[in-house]
Amino acid sequence: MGIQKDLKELTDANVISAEIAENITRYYAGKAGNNQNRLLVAFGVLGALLVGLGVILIVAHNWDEFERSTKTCFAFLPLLIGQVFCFYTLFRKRDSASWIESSATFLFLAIGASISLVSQVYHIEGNLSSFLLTWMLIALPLIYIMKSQAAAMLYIVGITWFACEAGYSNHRSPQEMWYWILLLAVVPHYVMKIKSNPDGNALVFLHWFFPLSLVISLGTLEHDFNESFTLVFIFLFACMSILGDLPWLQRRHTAANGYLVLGSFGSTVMLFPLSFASFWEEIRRDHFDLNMYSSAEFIGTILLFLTACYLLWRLKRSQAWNEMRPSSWMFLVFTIIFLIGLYEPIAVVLTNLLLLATGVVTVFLGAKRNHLGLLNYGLIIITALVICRFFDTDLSFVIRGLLFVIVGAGFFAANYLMIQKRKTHEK
Amino acid sequence: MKNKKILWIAFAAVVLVQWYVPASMIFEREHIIKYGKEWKFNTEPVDPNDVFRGKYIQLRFSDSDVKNTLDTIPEDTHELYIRLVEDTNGFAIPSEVFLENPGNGEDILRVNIPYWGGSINKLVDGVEEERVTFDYPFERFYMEEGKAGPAETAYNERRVDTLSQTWAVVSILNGNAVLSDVMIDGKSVTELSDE
Repeated sequence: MGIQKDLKELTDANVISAEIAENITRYYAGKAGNNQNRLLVAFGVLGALLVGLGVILIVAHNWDEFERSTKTCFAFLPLLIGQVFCFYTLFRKRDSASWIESSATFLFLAIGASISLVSQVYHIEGNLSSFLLTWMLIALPLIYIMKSQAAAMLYIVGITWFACEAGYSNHRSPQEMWYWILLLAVVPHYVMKIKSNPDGNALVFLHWFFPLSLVISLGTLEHDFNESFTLVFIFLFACMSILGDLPWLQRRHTAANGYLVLGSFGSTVMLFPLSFASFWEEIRRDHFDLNMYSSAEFIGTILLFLTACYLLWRLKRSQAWNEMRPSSWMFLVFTIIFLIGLYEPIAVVLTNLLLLATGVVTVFLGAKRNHLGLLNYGLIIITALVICRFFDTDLSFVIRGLLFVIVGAGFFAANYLMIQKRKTHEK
Repeated sequence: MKNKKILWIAFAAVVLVQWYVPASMIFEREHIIKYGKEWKFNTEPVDPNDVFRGKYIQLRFSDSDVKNTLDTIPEDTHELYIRLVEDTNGFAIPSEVFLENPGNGEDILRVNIPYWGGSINKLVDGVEEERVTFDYPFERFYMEEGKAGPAETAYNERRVDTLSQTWAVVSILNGNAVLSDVMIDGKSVTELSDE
C-alpha cells in the first residue's frame, strides 16, 4: 500500500504523470502475482513430494494382513490417483504451473510405490539399482508429456542414485552404462527449457542438478587406471567452468550458476592431491601399461579434452585471456604438466606453481572486477596450498612459518585495500 | 486440436506403460506359481532393510555351487543356468551348469554370477574339484515391518538345535523363480514371528 501513497504524492506534485503512476502500479501488481504463483508451485511440489514419499513408506510396511490379490490391487491405486490428476492437469489446467508440477511429482513417486509393492508381494529378485532403473525408465516420458521441471529433477536424482548403486558397489553390474543413456534422454527437455526461458527461475535447479549428477557419476567409468582418471575430472571441471562463463550463463547470479561454481571449485580442488609427490610416483609406475591407451577411460579423456578446447575457443570470442578465470585455461597447462610428469619428477613442483598462479590470478581478477568474493577465493587457494605444504616434512619450520605469516598478512592487506578502494569510489 | 489429439495419445501410451510394467510383473509371477514346480532350498536367514521396499529377510543358501563342467566362462557373462535335482530329504540341489538355457522346464533355473567370477576349488568327498559358485535370484523375503526381526530371532533359536531345518519354498518354471515362503521346521516364518 506504501507505494500507492508515494505515487499519489508524486502525481499530485506533478513529478510523474498519471499514466506513469498507473504503469508502475500495474508493474508491481504483476510482480506480486508472479511471486504468489512461484510460492504456490513450490508448496504444491513440496506437498506432492511429501504425500508421495508417505505413500512409499506406507507401502514399505508390507501389510501381511492383506491377501496377495488385495495387495496387488492396492499397487495400482496410487498410480491411478496420480494419472487422474495428471490427466485433469493436461486437459483442463495446462497453463497452471502449480498443477503441472504437483501432479507430475505425485505420479512420479506413485510409479515407484507401485513397482515396489509388486516387488515385495512376489519377492522379486534384484537390488536397489535394478529397481531404480525400472522406475526411472517408466517415469521418463512424464518429463516430456507434462513438461515438468520437478519430474526432471526427481529423474536426475533417481538416475544419479542408480549410477551410484550400479557403478560404485562391489557387484558386477552390466547396467551401469544405462546411466549415460538415461542422462542423454533428459537433455532435450533441458535444452527446450533453456531455449524457451533462459532466465527462468526453475532452470536454476537444473543448472545445479545436471552438472552435479555428472560429477557424482563420472567415477563409475573408472575401472583400472585410477591416476590417469584424474585427467578426466580435470577436463570435465574445465568444461563446466567454461560453460558457466559463456555469455548464456554468465549473466546469471553466481549462486544460480552451478556449472561455474562446480567447475571452478572442482578443478582447483582436484589439483591439491596432485601437489604431493606420491601421486606422480604412481603415475610414473602405471603409464607403461600399454593397455591404458586402448581403454575406454583413455578415449573418454581425449574426447573430453577436445570438448574443453572447443569450449575454450568459444569463450575466447567473448573474453580476453587476461580476463578469464584460471579454471578456464588451467586444464591446458595441467595437460603439459601431466605429460612431463609421466617421465620427470619435476611435475610436482610445476603443479604447485600452477596452483599458486591460480590463486594469484584469482586475487588479481577479484581486485580488477572489484569482487571481494573472488579476491578471497584466490587467497583461500593460496592458503590451502600453504597448508598442504605444511604437511611436507622436507620444508624447514622457518620457511613454513614465514609462508603462513605472509599469506595471513596478504588476507588483511588485500581486503583492506579493496574496501578502501570501494570507499574512494563511493566518495 | 491436432496437438491435443497427439497429447491424448501420448498420455494414454504413458498410462498404459505405467500399468503394463507392474501388471506384467504380477502375471509372470502368478503364471510361475500356478504352473511351475515347487522346490525347497536350504537357507540361513538374516534381517536387513531396503529404502523403498521395507524389511526383508536376506536368505543365504547352503547349496550354491556346482561342479564346473564348462570349458570357459566368458568374462561378460552375468547369468548361468543350472539343473536342479532333489536330494533324499526332498531339498533342491544343483546338479549341472550351462551357459545357455538347455531347454525349458521345471528343473532349470537362471542364476547370477557373483562379481568376482564365481570359479572356486573345493574339496568334495576328499577330492579337490573346480566348482562354480552362484547367487540364487531369490535372496530377499519381504516381511511386514516388525516381523522380520522376530523371524530372525526365531531362526537363531532353532539354529542351536541341529535337528531344526529352515528352507525357502520356490516355484520354478522355464528358468524363472518366485519365492513364496520361508519355512522353519515346517512352519511359515510369518506365522512363527506372530507367536
